[in-house]
Amino acid sequence: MPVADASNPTGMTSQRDVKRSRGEDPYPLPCHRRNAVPDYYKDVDGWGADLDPADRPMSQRELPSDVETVRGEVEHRQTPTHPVFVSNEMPDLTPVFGTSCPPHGLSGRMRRLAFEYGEGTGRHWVTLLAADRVDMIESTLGALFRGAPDNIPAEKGWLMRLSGGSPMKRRLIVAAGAVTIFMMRRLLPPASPLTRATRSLRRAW
Amino acid sequence: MKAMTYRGPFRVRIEDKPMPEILHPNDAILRVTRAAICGSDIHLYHGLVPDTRIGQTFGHEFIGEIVEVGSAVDNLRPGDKVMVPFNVYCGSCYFCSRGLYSNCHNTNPSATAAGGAYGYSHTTGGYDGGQAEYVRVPFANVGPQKIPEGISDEDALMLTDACPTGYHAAQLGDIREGDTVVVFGAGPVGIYAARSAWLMGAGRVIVVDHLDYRLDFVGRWAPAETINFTGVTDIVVYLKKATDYIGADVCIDAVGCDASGDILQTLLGKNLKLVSGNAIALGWAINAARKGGTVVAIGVYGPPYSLVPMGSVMNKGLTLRSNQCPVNRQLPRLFEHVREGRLRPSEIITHRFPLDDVADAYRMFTSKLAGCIKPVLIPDGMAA
Repeated sequence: MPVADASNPTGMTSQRDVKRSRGEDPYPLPCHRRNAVPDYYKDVDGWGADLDPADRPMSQRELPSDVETVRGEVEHRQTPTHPVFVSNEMPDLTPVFGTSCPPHGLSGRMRRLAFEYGEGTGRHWVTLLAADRVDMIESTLGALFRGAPDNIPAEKGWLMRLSGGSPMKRRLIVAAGAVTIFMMRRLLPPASPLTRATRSLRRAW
Repeated sequence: MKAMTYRGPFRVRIEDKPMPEILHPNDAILRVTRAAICGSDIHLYHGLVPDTRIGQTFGHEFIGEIVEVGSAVDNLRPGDKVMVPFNVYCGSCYFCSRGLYSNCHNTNPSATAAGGAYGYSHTTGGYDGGQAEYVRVPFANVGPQKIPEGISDEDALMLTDACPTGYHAAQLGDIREGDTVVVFGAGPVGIYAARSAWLMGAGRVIVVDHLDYRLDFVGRWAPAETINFTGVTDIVVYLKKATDYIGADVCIDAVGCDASGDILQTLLGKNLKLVSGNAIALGWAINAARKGGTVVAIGVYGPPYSLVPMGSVMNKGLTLRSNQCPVNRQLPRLFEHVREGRLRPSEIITHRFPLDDVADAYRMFTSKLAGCIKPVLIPDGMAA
């Protein structure tokens, strides 16, 4: 264990001893920079404009109110046209709700199951996450069987990753792609079921 | 209409979707002129948020022009240029009546754990978001604000979410004169939180991240001391040294569940999804705060659980504060700051993409390419 004293705060005796234990960094380090901060903190432009807490919008965390029911005044209610899953911590369907992506297929059944559990349980959220993955598989396979397969490289922005990343990363990605294509052509027999199944996909791309 | 749609983790594209309709007398339909991609959209993009359904349109930061209003909307009419806070809220429930607009109980049937929000999965209500040509705006009589004089469109766009959230974070810290404030995360919210900390009277502002280009920006813009934690063996110990072994008065976690920096949390949270992402930034904030200090969790975490050192919170007597930002409560004061030149929110915008290039925009933002800090999407015909 290195011994630290006033003349040698980190206790390191030579460069070889600098297998730094965690936390034994000298202070300050080059990665810690002062930048444009003025010497006196009050010289920062706009300093103290909200120094008085009364000037801050959230000085009162909650505003006074005499509303005592959870829903308050509800004048109009939206009419659902498809199943909307409601948390069992809610008294009923909210007056307004989103209508994006109605539940469907196996993922929809999984979501319905998830809502039988409360928000405080892991089962509720993990089931929803699993349903999200099933939804993705259903959607991707559905597009494939409809003859309009997803253009996954474009959806993932791979071209941006190639053009926007560092030159070394670009070379690695191109090399990995070339090796993958080479190995696929060598390993896949010409008339294999996989080759036939992916023919339309490859033509689309 | 064209709209961004989610196709699975790390996959988005533009699709033709039906025009949104008035479904409630308080609704309005907005033609989007500008939409931004938020750091929290990246959690959706990565598939970390439960009940994110294939086909949903993201986007909770947008401005535009009203094209149609419901029968009960009397404060707006077609042609009005408005900015829309990311909160979907009714204004009259138990929570809204107390000013907690981000915790509305009348706009999200799927969870009491979150209020309504645009384009943020069914966990926040299932609303399609603004990364599209048109969007449905519920409770248009309370949410959208006309863009006032002296506020540019891009400043207004930043004032729909990112800027008020950073400003709210600084307020949650209850900063007093001379306090040392450490902000974890040099993304847009962290940058605004660092700037806002000076407005609240901080004596020292330190920003921690691992991306030098973001640290350079916040060091110049806020301004702030900056630390790249990849150059440090233990950032918590280093911060204790930097604060005379006392710790920071206020620590703000502006990273959320997509943090980098801990292998176990990355494996359990981001890869296996057994916990809610990687909470290491919150752990560092808790450990770097002084005893009796305040920790602000403004980075977004989803359900179910996060690995957080609660023992340290208890034994150090920390105050842990958090919430999604009730945007409309911040706006009057923020408009003053912008008009007086103390805040220039649009200066953090680094990239502007046509809406058609949304996949490239998400890739650039998530992979931190080309110095990207804040990308903005522009629908067809809205470039001017």
